[in-house]
Amino acid sequence: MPEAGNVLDELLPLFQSECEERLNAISASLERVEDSPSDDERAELVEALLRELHSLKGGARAVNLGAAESVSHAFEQILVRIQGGDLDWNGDVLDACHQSVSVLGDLVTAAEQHGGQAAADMIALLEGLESAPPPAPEPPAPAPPVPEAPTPTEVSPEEQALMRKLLPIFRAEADERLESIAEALGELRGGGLPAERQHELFERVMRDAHSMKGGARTLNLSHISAVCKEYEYAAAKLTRKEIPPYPALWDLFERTSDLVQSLLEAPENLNEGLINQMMQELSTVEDRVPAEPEVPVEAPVAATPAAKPTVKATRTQSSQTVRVATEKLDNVLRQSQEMLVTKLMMQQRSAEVRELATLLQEWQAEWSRVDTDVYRLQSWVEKNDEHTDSSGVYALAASATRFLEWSQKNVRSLEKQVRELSKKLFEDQQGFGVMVDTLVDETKRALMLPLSTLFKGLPRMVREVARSEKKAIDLEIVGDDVEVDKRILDEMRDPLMHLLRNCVDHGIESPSEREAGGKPKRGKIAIEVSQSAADEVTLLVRDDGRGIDTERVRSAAVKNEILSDAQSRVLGHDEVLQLIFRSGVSTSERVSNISGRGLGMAICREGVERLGGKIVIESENGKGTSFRIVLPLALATYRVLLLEVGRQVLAVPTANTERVVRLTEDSIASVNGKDTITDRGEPVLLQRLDGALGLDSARSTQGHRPVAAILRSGDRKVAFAVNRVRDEQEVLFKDLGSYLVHVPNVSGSTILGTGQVVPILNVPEMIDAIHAENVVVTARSEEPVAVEPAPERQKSILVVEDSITSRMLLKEILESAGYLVSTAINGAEAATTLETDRFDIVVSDVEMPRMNGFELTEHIRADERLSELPVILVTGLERPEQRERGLAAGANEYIVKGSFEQSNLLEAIQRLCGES
Amino acid sequence: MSDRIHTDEHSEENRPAEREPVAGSPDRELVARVLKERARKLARPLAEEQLEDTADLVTLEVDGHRFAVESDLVREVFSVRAVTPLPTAPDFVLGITNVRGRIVAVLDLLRILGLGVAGRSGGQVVIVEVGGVDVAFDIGESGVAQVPLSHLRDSSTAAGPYVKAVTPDQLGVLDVERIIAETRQTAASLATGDSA
Repeated sequence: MPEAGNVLDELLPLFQSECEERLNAISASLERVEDSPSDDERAELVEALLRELHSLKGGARAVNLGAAESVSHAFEQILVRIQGGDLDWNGDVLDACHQSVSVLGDLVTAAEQHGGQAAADMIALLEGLESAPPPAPEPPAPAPPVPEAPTPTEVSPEEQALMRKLLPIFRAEADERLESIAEALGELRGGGLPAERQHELFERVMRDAHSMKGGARTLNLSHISAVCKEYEYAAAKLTRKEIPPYPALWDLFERTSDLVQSLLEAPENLNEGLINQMMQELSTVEDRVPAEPEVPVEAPVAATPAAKPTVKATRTQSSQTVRVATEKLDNVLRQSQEMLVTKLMMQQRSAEVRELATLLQEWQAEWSRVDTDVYRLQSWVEKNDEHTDSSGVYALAASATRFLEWSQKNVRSLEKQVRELSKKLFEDQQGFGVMVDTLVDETKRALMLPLSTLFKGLPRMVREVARSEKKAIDLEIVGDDVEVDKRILDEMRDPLMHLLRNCVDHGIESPSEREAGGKPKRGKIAIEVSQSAADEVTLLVRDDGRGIDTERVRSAAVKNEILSDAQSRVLGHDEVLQLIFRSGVSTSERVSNISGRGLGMAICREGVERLGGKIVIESENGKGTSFRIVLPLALATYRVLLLEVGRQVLAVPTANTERVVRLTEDSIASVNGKDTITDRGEPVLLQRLDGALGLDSARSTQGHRPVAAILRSGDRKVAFAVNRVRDEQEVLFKDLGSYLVHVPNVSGSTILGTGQVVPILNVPEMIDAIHAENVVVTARSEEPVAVEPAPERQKSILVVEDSITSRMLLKEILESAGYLVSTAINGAEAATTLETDRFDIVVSDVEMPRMNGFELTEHIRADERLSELPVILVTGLERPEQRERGLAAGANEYIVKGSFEQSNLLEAIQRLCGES
Repeated sequence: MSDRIHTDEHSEENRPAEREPVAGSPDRELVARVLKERARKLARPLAEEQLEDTADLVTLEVDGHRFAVESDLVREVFSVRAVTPLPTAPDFVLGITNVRGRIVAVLDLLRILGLGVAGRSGGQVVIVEVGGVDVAFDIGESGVAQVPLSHLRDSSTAAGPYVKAVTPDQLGVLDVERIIAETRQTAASLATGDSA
């Protein structure tokens, strides 16, 4: 189905971030398994792992990542085997699990639908896993357990290099943690804390020790990790109230912190004896509890020690920066951008009031022309009034002139007030405008991040790729503190990656080739950043490799029929270089898994140019290649709603969109031969969008237009019937190219993530035109005679699904079909929602934490009020007994998820909601 | 737009045979004969004049019609994935397309030259640029050619206002500047006419 591709593209980033979270959770659980917890805990961990993997698998299927799905499946099977006792947690299994996590991460990041060798290898490895021969008997319960400090494992020189780089980061982290522990200990020593606070501090010590343990383990700092492990356990005993707090314990903890600190600072002065002694002390804290606890466990709440404030003060001072999820900032930016619309509306209102003042002024001018007449009439009345008013005409005239005089005075003061109001409104509007603009600018600045965030991980990637290519390469980065719009950084990640891979794979020669060419063995790639103008930044990516052989590029282009031989002869050196950005041009003789398909450079250029940047290439044979990328510092974005009519996709600015409604025959009424619908009690003209735009599809009367978007310009609204409302997106506004200056009803265009070009409609222009044609109709339709049927209530659906990807996919499908959709993340949340809100149908996943789909169904059926509520279970479980279980629980329908099937789901919903 | 120089007789390839002579235009056969004759005369000295200045041309084929444009004006020949039609744009504007992040309008050359309507071809466009304005022509195939300057002949008015010269093998060299300037004007006036 044609739309599927696009929706999947939109869902992919969502899935990628979901996946990252789940993989982190899986890693954490695996680590806990390694800490050899009790059997019960292990079983729980396996359960948790299974749930994460299951959701991951479902998500991968939803976005069509077959390879990731298969690896997740194989991984899941391992856990099922462990659960069934068929396999135990030996070292190979743990290694394989960790490796699976990393493979899954790569597969999902690369978003390759059909996994390469890596996926296949991983699956083979997982499937080949066996239990360890005779499981080494666990050492008997520790009498006084003296944990041994493990000896460091062997590491390759490359890994050592990586660790050297990571070590400072870990040191900084450990320093912070030790400081945090020291603060906690200081507060605990002060004593007199309420039990709650005490508990908090114990937990803090435990968590900090735990984090240091993890970091140390990553870096193979076995002594530190061993000490921290004991440190953590000792603190855990406090949190579990297995031991009471006692002052000697704080001494022990402080000495442990000191030991960790010294191990960090001078690992060479290692004193194994001291380490072992410390670990032994830590592991036996319960034996050292003094007979009578000296510090009362429960302290009077009122007692507040004096020592604390100093600690507090230093804390607040150090928090000059705050971490905020970028998503929140994105929301702030979006909201402040919405305010730009309000700013424009205020301008409009201000102009309207000025208009009003002008009208009153005109009235004044008219008045002054009859002013003298009125005055003369008045004096004439006054003169005659006394004598002869037999007919009463003078009295009438007197009353009329009195009124005229009064109203003149009033209108004059009214005019003055309106003028005053207009002036103030103008000032307010100006002030508001400046504030909104500043707010938007400031928010955009808050979303600027240094380029270093983009470069993070690149050195490692270059090293890894270089290693697999048997090359030695240094990556040097200069000037990464220039700040750039986060969205640009996000978009640049892939292009830069492709570029660097290309440099490693094709640019830099093998060490022997370099030596033969009189170059140092180690190749060099440099990224130099400079802010080349107020609003742009230049990245210069340079390698000192072999340069680009233009002859080979030329022949590759001819071979791939991008150019004819004759055409290629006309091109100069620079023009041939540009050819490497064309897809399909690769000078590589072989296709490696890194590059060589001739796509990387095309992707790179497309990415850069989509952002409004440009990329230029320079190369000298034998000396190296440099790519100069010029990027804007900020993006101008725009929110639009995507509508589908016939085969065309059109965008309308969200600012012009009132709402989207589902159309049924009953909801459309004919008023004076014009179709109208009722929106919040008001009649709104209904037009076919293709008709309004004169599209080809308008000529066919066939084709149901099930949805209408009510668009607005100022106060005027028109509903446009379309085939489908796809979704709302933030896009970059583009013009229609340099050739087209103005096209009726189209204000510009945008390029979607898929590369598809979509026109952005000029809504005010469209609505003006329609109103000009229909003035009479709307005027008449305001008469009360218009008989409007009650608008059909939109059917509402509750979607219950724990995977955010699948949840958003379902929401997307159902909303496009015109339903109102609410979501819940598990059965328990759904049950709570159902207590207060009314729904026409529930669509639920089966496998969920807290309350699964079967339980939810049973819960619904048990509730008298909800017993008639239709429930559809949507699941990846394909076994017949599961279906039976679902139907037995009272589900009306049991649908097995395909990769992207929506028709059977929509049919089922329609049927169960009693629609035709 | 009056008669065209690229009539069926000049090529061995199959050409659409639907075109009718336009009233008031010179006799088609006569024109053809004269041009053929002229071409034959002009063709002979080619080999001897290798060192002469040449015009670099990009040759285009659209639905069986062949033209040339000066290669100086051609930015590139590009394969477009899709052309998005613009509702309410003039009929010779096929739509807009994405050329590496830039939006470029795609024009129907045959309609502009009054040669009928081309069905959308294989997705190739030639992008020309004049004075900062770029536009794409929908084409089938393209190639390159070099013609000594002295062999280019001014086109007769019979070739239409948008053909500025004719090569010895009867390729009309398009007056791209004029095409862009005039059609752009037409598009703009249609737009204001419509929206007023």
